[in-house]
Amino acid sequence: MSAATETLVLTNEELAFFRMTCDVFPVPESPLRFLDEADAEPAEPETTFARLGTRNLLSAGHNGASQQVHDRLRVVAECNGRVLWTVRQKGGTRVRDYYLADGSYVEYSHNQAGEHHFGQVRPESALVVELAQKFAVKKPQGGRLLRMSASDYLVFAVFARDLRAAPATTSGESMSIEEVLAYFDEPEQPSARAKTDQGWQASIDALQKQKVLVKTKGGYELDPQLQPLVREIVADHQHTIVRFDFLDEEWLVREISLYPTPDTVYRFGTEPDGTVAIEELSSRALSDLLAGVVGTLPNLLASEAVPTLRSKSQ
Amino acid sequence: MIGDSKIGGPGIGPPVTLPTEPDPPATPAASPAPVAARDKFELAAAADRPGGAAAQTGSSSGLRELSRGDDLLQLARENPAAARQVVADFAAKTGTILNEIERELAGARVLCDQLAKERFNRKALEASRRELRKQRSMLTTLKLRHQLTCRKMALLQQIAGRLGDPRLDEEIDRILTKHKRLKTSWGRRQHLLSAGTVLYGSDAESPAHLSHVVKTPVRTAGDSEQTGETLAKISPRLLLADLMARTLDGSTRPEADESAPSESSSALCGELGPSVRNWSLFSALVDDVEDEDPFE
Repeated sequence: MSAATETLVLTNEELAFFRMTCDVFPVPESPLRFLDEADAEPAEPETTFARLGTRNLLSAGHNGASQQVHDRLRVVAECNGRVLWTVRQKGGTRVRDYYLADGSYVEYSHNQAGEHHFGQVRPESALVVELAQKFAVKKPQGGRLLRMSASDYLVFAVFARDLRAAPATTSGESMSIEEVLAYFDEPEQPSARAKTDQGWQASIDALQKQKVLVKTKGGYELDPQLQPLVREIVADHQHTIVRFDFLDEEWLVREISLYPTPDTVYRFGTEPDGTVAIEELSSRALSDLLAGVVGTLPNLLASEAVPTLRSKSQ
Repeated sequence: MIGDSKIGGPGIGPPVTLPTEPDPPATPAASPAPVAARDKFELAAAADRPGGAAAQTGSSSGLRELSRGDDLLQLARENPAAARQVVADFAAKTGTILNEIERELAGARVLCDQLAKERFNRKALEASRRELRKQRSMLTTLKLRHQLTCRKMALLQQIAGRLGDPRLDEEIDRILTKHKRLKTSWGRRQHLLSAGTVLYGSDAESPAHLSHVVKTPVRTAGDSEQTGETLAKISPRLLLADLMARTLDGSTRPEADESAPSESSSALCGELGPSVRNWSLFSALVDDVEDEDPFE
């Protein structure tokens, strides 16, 4: 590591050396905990000392880690939170791992060869920016939020399916209530359509009220503004971001599922009131949501406590 | 004064367990909270002192025992002023511990200075090993106490008692039973999609930014790194988002998908605690539903 921006790579032996010099004190949730569990000590301290010195990883007095190294080790070893960013797409799943302490984070990974990679120490806000930059969002503000019951969502999905099956150049065809209901018939379970026709009609009415469906001569069709959403969403192109705050035997968990399209990004999720939500995110709403998931929670005991980044976008 | 009583006087707020470290509170206010003293904190703190159980074993059990913050959360919810006072006490205590850490660290640095002059050769290291280990053990204990205090402060400040527990643990049996009775694939999907009400822990007093924050008991006896990865795979909220997307695009879960919850056997066995086991049971339902397209 010759510059502050480079990834620091340390072996198990080197980490054991820094443990010996009192630079590493891993908490139970740290990925470096194995050092304490194994009571790790360097096997070749003299050689390791020389190597670390050559790599400029020691302090000026050579009595332990340099400040840069110490700072990176401290965040990962004495972490009080963790962010896992998982990107799932056709080529497979990629996970990036960030450990947090005192408002800063360090990206960390290790491999089977026993190499541990430590990114630079950065403020949490930089992680929000880094994540937000991964998405192409053209709208600066004012994305659409759809909230619906599970039944309404299934009806919405039926219209979405119909549209996906149509050529990309068309806007799909209207569907009558009977055509919608046919999706819920199951040949082997002829009596299975438990929900009444009036129930499905109620769902259609609710979707029409939300301007998700538009009434036409032949029945109903999806609002043209929603057509890019239902055509472009691919379940297997998904970003999930999860933050854990370690309170020892209880962890706080925050998470978000994002589905990008060429022009925008959608948040999919369930809500505490039992509805499901799809939110088209403007660039501002995306930043607010990411800050709400990734950032340290505000101090509720402070009289000037700011309400929430997350709530602003909803 | 708060209401008719002084802070810490009788009749205000819930009983709270307060730190009984030797250092007096730095703030001039009266005793910070009602003291129907419970021994949980004192016992754990004793174990965590230099030479205490945690120090001797080098384990984190002291930290674990101390982390149950129900009393503190109740206090924060019912008496924020007293909670602020507790935070101030914790902050003062943190400062004291940090000073102790600095002092011990300086001692360790002197030892390391001497070793550096000898280029950390084996002979020099052998001579200093015992002293170095002692210093390190002392620092480990102090660091644990510091971490513990910081976490308790964070708990008080960030949650302030305004986060309940999700009802999934209470409802999981009912969900499993009802799910088995459903005959249609769309019915099973509808059932799961409406499960949001039991997945969150917020209530009417929760501020909006906490409505999507979930408190989950996790047993971290083993590999915490792996535990986090498992939780990210079987989080019911993330899996339901996936179910929503698959309902729209008509896809089913790829067979070789590594996020398949069946892989999380340690979670299913209950090794990570009952709540995580329930997450795992729930995610198995989602996995099952995602195996077929209801509209095909």
